[in-house]
Amino acid sequence: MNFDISLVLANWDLLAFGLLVTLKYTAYTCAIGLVIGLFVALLQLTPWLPLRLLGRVWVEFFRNIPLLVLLLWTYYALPIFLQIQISKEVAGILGLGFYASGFYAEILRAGVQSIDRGQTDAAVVLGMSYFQRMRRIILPQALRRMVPPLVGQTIMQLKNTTLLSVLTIPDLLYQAGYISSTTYRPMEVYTVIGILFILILFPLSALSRRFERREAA
Amino acid sequence: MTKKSNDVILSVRGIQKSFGKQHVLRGVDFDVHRGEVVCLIGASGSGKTSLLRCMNLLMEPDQGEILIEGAPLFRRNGRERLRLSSSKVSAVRIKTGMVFQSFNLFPHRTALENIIEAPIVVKKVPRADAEAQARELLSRMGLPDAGNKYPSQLSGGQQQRVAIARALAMQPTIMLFDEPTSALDPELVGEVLAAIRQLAAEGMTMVIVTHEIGFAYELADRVVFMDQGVIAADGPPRELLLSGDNARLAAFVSRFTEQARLLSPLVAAADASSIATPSKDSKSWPT
Ligand SMILES: Nc1ncnc2c1ncn2[C@@H]1O[C@H](COP(=O)(O)OP(=O)(O)OP(=O)(O)O)[C@@H](O)[C@H]1O
Ligand SMILES: [Mg+2]
Repeated sequence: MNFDISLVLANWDLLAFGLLVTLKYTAYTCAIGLVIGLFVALLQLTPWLPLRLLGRVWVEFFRNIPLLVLLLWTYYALPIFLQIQISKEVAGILGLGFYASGFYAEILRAGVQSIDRGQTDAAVVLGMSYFQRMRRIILPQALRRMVPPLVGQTIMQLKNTTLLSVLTIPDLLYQAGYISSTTYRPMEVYTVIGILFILILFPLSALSRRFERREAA
Repeated sequence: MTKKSNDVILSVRGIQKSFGKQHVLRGVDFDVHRGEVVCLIGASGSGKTSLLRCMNLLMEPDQGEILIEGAPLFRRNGRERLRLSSSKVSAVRIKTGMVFQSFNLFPHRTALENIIEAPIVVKKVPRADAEAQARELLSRMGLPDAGNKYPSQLSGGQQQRVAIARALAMQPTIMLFDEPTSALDPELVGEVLAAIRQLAAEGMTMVIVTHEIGFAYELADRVVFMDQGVIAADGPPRELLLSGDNARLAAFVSRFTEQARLLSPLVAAADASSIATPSKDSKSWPT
């Protein structure tokens, strides 16, 4: 066995491009996921049953469909159903973004609901309005609890972008496949991108862990 | 102790409340006069907490009427119903201060911040004034150095005293306590009861749900015994707790007197070592 990464490094520009694509899709789809997720979480927190059900259905749908199926369906089936053109980029962003929204919604909802009922009681008795107690009492506590799962979900999201390669979107994994097919060096290429992923994600999870420890203290 | 006057601070009429098929309050009438200390006792599940939470509309009754200092907070008779905006409800509600069994301090705020929160946010009191008041309240509660501590850094007894200070900061005309010492380790009960005793001495109007029968006996102007969702007995503590008129009340009280009798040797021993336990009451129990 001879492990020679010089050929891989010679293609660093392709890898860098792939990394950029991966980060770009992560950022876009996390943003979409968070915005929709917040909206869906709010739906689930209303006292109004039909809205709660709607939120519930959304969450269950996107949490239970396998991401690969969702991506392929969005790209190949959705355009036929709607009789429209969807580029692979849009299909990728919608699929990943909606998928993330289901998970983010659950994190946000559970975070708010995990705050003890007594906190609301105390704030109500002191005369605080719904918005005052949400903003000053419930959300500050809930957000702290949400940070670790939100970070965790974002890490998953970055890893999930590798599935975009099946839509031939040139993310890091797709680029690796390409390099490997031109250089015949799969061992080196896949080792390098594996390490790249870990190098990017490890600081994130370490940060979240530190935050968690500080919260517990 | 006849410090009570004739003006009614809080009045509830015909309060009914059900959870599903369970009829928890079945027509409760209840008045509290200025300066009066009322202790609410009764078996678990008899509806004490529900009644207390109805008094400031933390829980909405199905039927009945609630007035605080003459201002209507709730009224519903059959289909006819008083509609108040949530800011109006809040304006009446904050005449009551409430203290919970589980303290419910805001864990992300220091003791001082817990106390100044509502005066600043709800009453728009200038921060400096709110802080000065909070410091004074903390000293009154015997916690002059606790201001910068977070609730998790305080003992249960200290947390509960901060919670009392937080309620007092809104300058309520009546204080509602729901088993303020039930979540405390036994050695911390005394300090909280002492704080409440001090409030009583200052003339605060109070309704206290408690299982500390000795405390009720010592402190209350009036004891109210709830049983199965109604007020089954109501009167001055000595008459009420010692009379055998109401069989269920007598049975309820006897459990405590029995325990007190069994514990009396321990009480004498504890008396020697600790300070503020209401042990002298236990000794005055008939055996
Ligand atoms: N939010 C609720 N939903 C359903 N049932 C409730 C609710 N709150 C109280 N109950 C029921 O109402 C009954 C009276 O409860 P409540 O808490 O008023 O009793 P309590 O006298 O305070 O008892 P305890 O001494 O145990 O605190 C209980 O049987 C309880 O299970
Ligand atoms: Mg109770």
